[in-house]
Amino acid sequence: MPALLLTPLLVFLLAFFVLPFGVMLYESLYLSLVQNPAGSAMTFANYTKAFGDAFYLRVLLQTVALGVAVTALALVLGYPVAYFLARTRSRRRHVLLFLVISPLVVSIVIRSYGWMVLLGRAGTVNTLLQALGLVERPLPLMYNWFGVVVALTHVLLPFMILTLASVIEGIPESLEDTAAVLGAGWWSRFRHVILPLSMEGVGAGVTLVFMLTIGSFVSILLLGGSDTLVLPLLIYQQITLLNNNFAAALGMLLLVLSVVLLYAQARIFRVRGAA
Amino acid sequence: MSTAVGRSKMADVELRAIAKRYGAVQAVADLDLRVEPGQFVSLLGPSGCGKTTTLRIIAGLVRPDAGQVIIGGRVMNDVPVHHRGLGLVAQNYALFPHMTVMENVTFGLRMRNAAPADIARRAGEALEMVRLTGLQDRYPRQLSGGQQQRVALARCLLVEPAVLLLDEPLGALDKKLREAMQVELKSLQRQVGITAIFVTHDQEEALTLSDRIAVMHQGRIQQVGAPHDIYERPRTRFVAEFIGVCNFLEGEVVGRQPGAVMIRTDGGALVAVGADAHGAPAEGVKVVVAVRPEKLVVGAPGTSHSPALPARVEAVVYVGTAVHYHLRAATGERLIAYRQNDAAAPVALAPGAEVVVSWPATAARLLPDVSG
Amino acid sequence: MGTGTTRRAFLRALTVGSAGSAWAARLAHAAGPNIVAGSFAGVWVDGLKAGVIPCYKRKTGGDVELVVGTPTDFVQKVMATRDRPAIDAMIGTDADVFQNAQLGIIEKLQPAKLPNVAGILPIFKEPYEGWAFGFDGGRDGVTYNANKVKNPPKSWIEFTERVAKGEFGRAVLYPHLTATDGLAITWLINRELGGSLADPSPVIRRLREMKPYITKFWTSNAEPGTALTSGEVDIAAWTDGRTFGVQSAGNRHIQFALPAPGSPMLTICFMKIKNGSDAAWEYLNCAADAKNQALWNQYFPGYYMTHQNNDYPAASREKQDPTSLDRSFKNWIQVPWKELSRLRPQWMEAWTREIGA
Ligand SMILES: Nc1ncnc2c1ncn2[C@@H]1O[C@H](COP(=O)(O)OP(=O)(O)OP(=O)(O)O)[C@@H](O)[C@H]1O
Ligand SMILES: [Mg+2]
Repeated sequence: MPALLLTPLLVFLLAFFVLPFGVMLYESLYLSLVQNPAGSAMTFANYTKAFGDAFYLRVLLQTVALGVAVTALALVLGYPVAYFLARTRSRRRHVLLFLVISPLVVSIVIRSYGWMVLLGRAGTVNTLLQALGLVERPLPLMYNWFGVVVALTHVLLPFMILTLASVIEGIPESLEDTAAVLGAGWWSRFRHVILPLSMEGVGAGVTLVFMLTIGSFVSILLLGGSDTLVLPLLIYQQITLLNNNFAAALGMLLLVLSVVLLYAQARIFRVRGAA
Repeated sequence: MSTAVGRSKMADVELRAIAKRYGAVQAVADLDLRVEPGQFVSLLGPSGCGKTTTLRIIAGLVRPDAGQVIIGGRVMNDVPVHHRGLGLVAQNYALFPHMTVMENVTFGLRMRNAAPADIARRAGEALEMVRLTGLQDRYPRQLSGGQQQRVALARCLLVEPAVLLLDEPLGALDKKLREAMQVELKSLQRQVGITAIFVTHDQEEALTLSDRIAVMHQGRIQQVGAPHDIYERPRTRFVAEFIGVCNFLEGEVVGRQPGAVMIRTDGGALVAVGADAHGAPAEGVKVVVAVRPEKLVVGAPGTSHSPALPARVEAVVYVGTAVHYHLRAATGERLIAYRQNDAAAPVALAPGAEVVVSWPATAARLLPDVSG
Repeated sequence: MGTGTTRRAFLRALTVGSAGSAWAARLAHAAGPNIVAGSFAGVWVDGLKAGVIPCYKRKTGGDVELVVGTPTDFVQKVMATRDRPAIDAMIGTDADVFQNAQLGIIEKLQPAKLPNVAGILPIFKEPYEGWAFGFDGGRDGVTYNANKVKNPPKSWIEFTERVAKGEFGRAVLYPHLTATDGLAITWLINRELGGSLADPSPVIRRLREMKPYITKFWTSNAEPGTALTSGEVDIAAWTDGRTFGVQSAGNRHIQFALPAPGSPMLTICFMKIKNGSDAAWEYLNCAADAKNQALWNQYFPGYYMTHQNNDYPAASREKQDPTSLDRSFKNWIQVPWKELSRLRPQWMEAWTREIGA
């Protein structure tokens, strides 16, 4: 019976994960038809190119660095909001909840236009800074790493907040009350009670946001510049050039990164004393 | 006492005109309470009457809308929770699930940045005191309910709180363990000599443990007194009813005698109630007569002293240590009487038997009639 | 409809998600031969529905199911379904023609089935060596904000020099090499700088000098319009047709200049997919018709049509380049697409390493 209940999930995984993964693995072991119309034998050439070249490794490093930056920012910004969301008894809680998920409600294109209006050369922020006499020339806030990090943090923040909030909600308030009565100020309560007990949520949120960041593409395409080269962009370019095979090898690189992280998550983010 | 947990500060607690409202609910209203140093006081009342709210106001977890919280002579209203130096044991113990017993117990000391050696010594003593030695490396989920309870107590006592606040700390335990823990809790409190405020809705528990009981109803304190005082001399019908079981006869004062007042019940029976000369109500005043079931004497017709109510036995319930008679007076009132199952020969009364019910005038209480 | 066709349609639906609707379309119109064709999104669809598609319906009694996307999308779909392709006819840029030929996914045009192609101007069909014919053309040039840039560059070289000097500030858009415009312009500048097809290093070097002042290398053809009107940039390498679109939307200050020695020629071509339905020939023939092209041009004033008998709508005619109206095409520069599409991966690699994303 339990096995039967898992069937839809297994079919789903097979159709949308195992099969594409198989295709990707297969493709990555051949050379592109564009460059070799006659076809090629099975080869690791795509991998030796991806791993053996300092250029691609640098892109990989940049991708990871972007992931770390966005994840850290989302965690720091998201935690207080998640905490408030989990604890508030306000009747306007649903309004806050809506605000939190609002970035996901708006399409990527509209959201990006929003950022352009804010961060552009003639955008709100620069106009304001110039009007206040804080800067002479407009600051480059967009089409660079800054813009990418801001945009990605904005759209991925809901994932962090909702993941954290659901875990924090499960931590009895009586634990905080007791800690407070025992002499713990707000920082100690956070440091010794809430944070350690929400570690699983932190792990899930961090993994989720990191993986979404290193896989994200449209926001980077729209708000990034020539310096913001990351793996998904490289993959996109390869697909544009119809070199699906090298794209597949780069995709495997991204996948390996995610799997390593998932494994690490299960080991690092654990709550002590849990069953 | 020379143990680590024996250096209580023995503070007194005073609440002055405390009030707290949640939306439409007046959780606590105009509440005054004094707790003497070293006393064990229970807040007793039905669910939702404001016990927990009162306790949380004392702890500093809830800000009162009005009134003052004074602990050890100091007004605490603006002192944040973590600086009040109190101890709290909640109903579910609120043990930190990610900390071992040792880490739980030493939490308060660690928050105070006590010296590690000091922490270890005092924790050892505290664990010994609550008989948990050897379990210090376990996590809470690896402990029984009673053990968790004792960890919570030890954790709280280790910081030498000025006042121990307990919110139904025994509520989650089964009856046997609960009774054992009551004894343990009381002796621990005595031993440490700490002021304790104990919230419960279990009247028996309150009677057993408390030096004084404050009976609460709808956010207000109805009566404060020693357990026997509350039981024997309830001041309101609510208190009489909430503590133990009580018979009520509604009626009107029709005459006064030295040391007693004559009442004509609404059913028409004439009964006497012992009363002080000066406290007695005037003739014509509506009152309620309250008599505990164990004070009623049930006898064959014509055998008892007057005034007596003729009645009929409706049911007989045997409960082991006693027999409960459910009676219907000839004048219509329902009564219940207990007869101790003692060495004297049992009175053979079957349902349907005609009896007379009487009681010593001093055993009845005259209460104001608030219903009318 | 025979079982063979059904099975074929079924396989397509299974292999490519978007082909599911095509299968449904085929079943729904059993009357005539239905085909699936690739098109750009938006106004392009309206343009095709104005002339080309009604013509196909009239001639065959069948219908055209449009799959909307980019040429790369179409090629990826066809590659996944080579034997029973999900698409029967596609459009693409000049760069796509020889790449598709090399991949073996398109068929050579059959003149007997395409009488209208005889009327296509030679300049719009000869470069493709029989693999495709041009449907419409556009010019790449420099679009600028006339309020900020008083003296637009006279030549492509001047444009690159002035950008590299920071004369326009960090307010310049240049097309990415993944965009066909990027490939064409970059090739032309490389040639002007003395580079060759095999050696893009001169233009790469120049672009590195320009990079600090380039706000973004645009990838979507719509980006420069937004950036120019919002004030994000003051000058962009872009196309005339798009510029006129922005202009007529009330932005008089956005203007177009054609730098010397001229515009690299960019054409949207029609191609017939190998193994696709034969009815697609009729569709291609309708696209090579002067009247159908003119109907399409109503939606794209300022773009050039490829049939010799083309009669531009008035609004479009006034925006035409005189050298295309007089058919001398002096301002137009032929891009060696055949070689360039073969060398594109190398150019791309050099670009990615030296310039970035
Ligand atoms: N945070 C709150 N928000 C709104 N109403 C509250 C809040 N806390 C308590 N109340 C209300 O105040 C009243 C008193 O609650 P309180 O918890 O003090 O009762 P209690 O005597 O402890 O009851 P119990 O025996 O059920 O624990 C109740 O009506 C309760 O619903
Ligand atoms: Mg309570």
